[in-house]
Amino acid sequence: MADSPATSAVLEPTTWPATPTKMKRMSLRFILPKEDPWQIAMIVLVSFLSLFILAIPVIVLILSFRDGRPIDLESTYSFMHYASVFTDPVAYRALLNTVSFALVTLLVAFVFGLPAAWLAERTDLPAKPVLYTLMTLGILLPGFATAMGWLFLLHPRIGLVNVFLTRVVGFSEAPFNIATIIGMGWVQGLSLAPIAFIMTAAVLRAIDPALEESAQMSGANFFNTIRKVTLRLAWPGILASGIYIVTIGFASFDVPAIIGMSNRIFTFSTYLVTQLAPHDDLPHYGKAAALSTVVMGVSGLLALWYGKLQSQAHRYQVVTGKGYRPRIIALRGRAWMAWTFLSVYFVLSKFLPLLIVIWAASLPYFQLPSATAFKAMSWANFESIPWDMMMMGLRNTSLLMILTPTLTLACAIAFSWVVLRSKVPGRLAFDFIAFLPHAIPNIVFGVGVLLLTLFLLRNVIPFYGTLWILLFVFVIGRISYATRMTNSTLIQVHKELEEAATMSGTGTGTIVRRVLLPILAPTLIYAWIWMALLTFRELTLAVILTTNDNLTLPVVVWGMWQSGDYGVASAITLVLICLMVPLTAFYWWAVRKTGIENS
Amino acid sequence: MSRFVTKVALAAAVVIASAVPVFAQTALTPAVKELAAAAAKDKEMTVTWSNSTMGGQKGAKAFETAINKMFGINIKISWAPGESMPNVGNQVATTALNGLPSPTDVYMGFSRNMAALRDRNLFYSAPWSSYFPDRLTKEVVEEDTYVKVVSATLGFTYNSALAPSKPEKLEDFLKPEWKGKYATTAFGAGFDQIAAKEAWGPEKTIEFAKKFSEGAAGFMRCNEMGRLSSGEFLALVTDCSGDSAREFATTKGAPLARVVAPDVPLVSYFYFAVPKNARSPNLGKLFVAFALTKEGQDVIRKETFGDLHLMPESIVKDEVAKAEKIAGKKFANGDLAWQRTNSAGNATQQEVAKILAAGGRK
Repeated sequence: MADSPATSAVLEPTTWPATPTKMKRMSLRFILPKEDPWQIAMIVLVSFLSLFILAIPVIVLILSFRDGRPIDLESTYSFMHYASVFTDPVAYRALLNTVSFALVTLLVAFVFGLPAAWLAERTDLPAKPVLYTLMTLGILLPGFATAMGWLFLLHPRIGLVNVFLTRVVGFSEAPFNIATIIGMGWVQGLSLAPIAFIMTAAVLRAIDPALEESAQMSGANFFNTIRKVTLRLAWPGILASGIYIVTIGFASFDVPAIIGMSNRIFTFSTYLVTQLAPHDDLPHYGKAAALSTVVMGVSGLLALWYGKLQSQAHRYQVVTGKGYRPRIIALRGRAWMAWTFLSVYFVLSKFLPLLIVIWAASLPYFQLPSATAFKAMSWANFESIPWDMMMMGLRNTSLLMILTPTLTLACAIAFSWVVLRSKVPGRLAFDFIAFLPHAIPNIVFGVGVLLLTLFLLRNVIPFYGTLWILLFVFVIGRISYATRMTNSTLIQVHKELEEAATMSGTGTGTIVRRVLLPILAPTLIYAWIWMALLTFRELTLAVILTTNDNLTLPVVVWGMWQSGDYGVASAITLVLICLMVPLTAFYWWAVRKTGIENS
Repeated sequence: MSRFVTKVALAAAVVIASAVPVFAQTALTPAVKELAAAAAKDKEMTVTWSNSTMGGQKGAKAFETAINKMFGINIKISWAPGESMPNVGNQVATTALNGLPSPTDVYMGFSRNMAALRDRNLFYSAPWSSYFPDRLTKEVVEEDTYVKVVSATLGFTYNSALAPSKPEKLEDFLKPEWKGKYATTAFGAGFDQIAAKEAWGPEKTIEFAKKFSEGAAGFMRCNEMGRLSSGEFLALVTDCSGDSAREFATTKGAPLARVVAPDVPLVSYFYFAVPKNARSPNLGKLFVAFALTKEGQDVIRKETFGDLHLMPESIVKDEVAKAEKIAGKKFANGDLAWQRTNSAGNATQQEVAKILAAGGRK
């Protein structure tokens, strides 16, 4: 799962990393402040982290050209792996499948996410907090749980809906097939609709209603106003969220793995995993690296386009000072229609798949509802849960949930301070580097870290197979999101406050602790909990880097699923969801307490 | 006279009855006692394979109890869910290449997997026959390293309740009623044997694979019997060995049936081997040695419904005999040594895997 969205990132042109300024020839004593250890520490931390972030795509690039096994000293360099990728019809098809899958995902996410955002921000929809809560829960439900549910709903042979339509309604053959690119995109799109919702809600909230009113005064009807005014004003934000969703779709692993792989539909991520764990040979690291490099190139182009859009965002700035007032459209008697639409989404995206997972968890093997099946229901799958591993997974996941957001935010504050407050030459380059993990699919970063730790750092820092490798890659994976959050908040804090503290003889450490942190606290708490929750459900990165010693909870479920034990996998999924409920409740309590939901 | 005979008979019965437990208990050689003492110091070990291999978590516990009882030690065996056997083999190799501990203290692999890993010198050799001379014979242990543990015949498993017709041979899956209803493995399990000189040979196999691939609905793993039982797929062709089907059908009441492919007259094996980078190598060796005792084979039989047909108490022995009768010939020995001679078959399997991934479009 990629980073969660920073709503502010959509609106803040300043958050896009600018081109590095021309480096001047300067000695180290001009770069590093002489008497402030905090500043030195932050600059050193940011430099080291930047080095690691840059090293990951670089090693992927190098290994993509290297023949033989990565550890062989006598290896030569060639285009062999690229030739292997470009002459493999399955690789081509996987890339084409991935593009189609990402586009269907985007379409479905927008079909549900955009109207929901509009209803939440521009209308007097009743019970809006319920909408926000359910949308947040939607993001937090594990993707593999909904994928499992949809497989049992719309599989051509065993899908409950298809069976009902063929046996009861009289269809000659199953009308739906989830095991297609469209089916997979449908499932992924439903799970990403909340991201479209959250990212576009912020844009819609900021649109000056005077423009819409002018359109209506000029005779435009409701739909024309939406099409010609609202959507055009929101276009940069919508496009940005679209690119974000496409990036996630490109790297998504759980839905393509559960629905696609067993039906011979490979996407980039599942194809990459088959290269890393082939059945007939040792891992094909070179080919995986070549494929990752190709995708890095595509992602880089997307990121450049995204950056260009962001740099032009000022053209769409319609929030003005004194003239701005939010305009709310009265739904009147149509509120029930709005809630019907939203209910359909929630039933389709969460309730039905969850119900199916409960059903699967209670049976020895998946069966269609019948007297025999009801008789076979039991707690056996729950009793068969490998509790030793569950406890290890829980311990590791809990540690990661605490450490990942804490360290990520600490690093993000350092990055933001260096970029926005320090005088370090070329400091804007650090912002660009912090943005890299977002621009490159997370799975490629996972592969990069795997290669880095196995073949470069193994004798220096032997942390392959430890919890620390997961922590490291999780922190890097989330640094883009965290720096967008800290950047946008730090920009709003006037330098006068720090200058006043400095004039009073206060050091940087105390300024950060007593001035900046209290001001940043609401954003940090929000971001911390958000990242903790995403860490809880992370599978894509974990599946590449886990061994028996650093299992996380989602990987335990994945392991059981891979073992062919759907019942136990479903049972563990339910336990996982039960564990998420108090976390989500805490999330909402914190959000309401800090007042971020209205910011 | 008759009273005398009765008394003698009773006395003999008492002697025999009292002697049975002594003979039933496997005798421990000094070598295995020494190994057990060393293994006791390892304290715990991990086995990594799928939940339906060797009984998964439950099987590991059963092994732990039986080993502790036989050797009078107190060790712990943990199970970790592993991916497919080739993938776990990859992990063993990757960790070994990087000087890291193996994910498993005992690697279980099919003869084909073992043959692929053999040249990398990843596993310990040991004086296996000194542990249990009458069980760990030359017929059972290859190259002092690879220990046969379960016999396997090539075949296919199908959902007997939903199958459109009863399949009897591999070509039956080319019939129209099976199109889009059967699954196969992503790596073309068993196609190396189908392509062997004892069976079809490479050319016929490739031709078959092209047609077969067009009709295949998708991929599944050898042990995913839940997918056959639920009807997601109606058959798995080929099914690696069929042990999973027997276990699933028996323990969960699933409508599964299995047929041994009569065109492939081979008995292959699943092997145990102890990785050189195992955390608990002595315990790993003890585990392997135990698995070949009568008690060990009992545990395997109970957990997997399979065993090694070379053992006198084997139940698979009868299955092999039945399959030989149907095929009308004696099955050849498809062991590791045979795998090395089957280079054409192995190359064909790789070609078939590509054909399968391409969905018949290659």
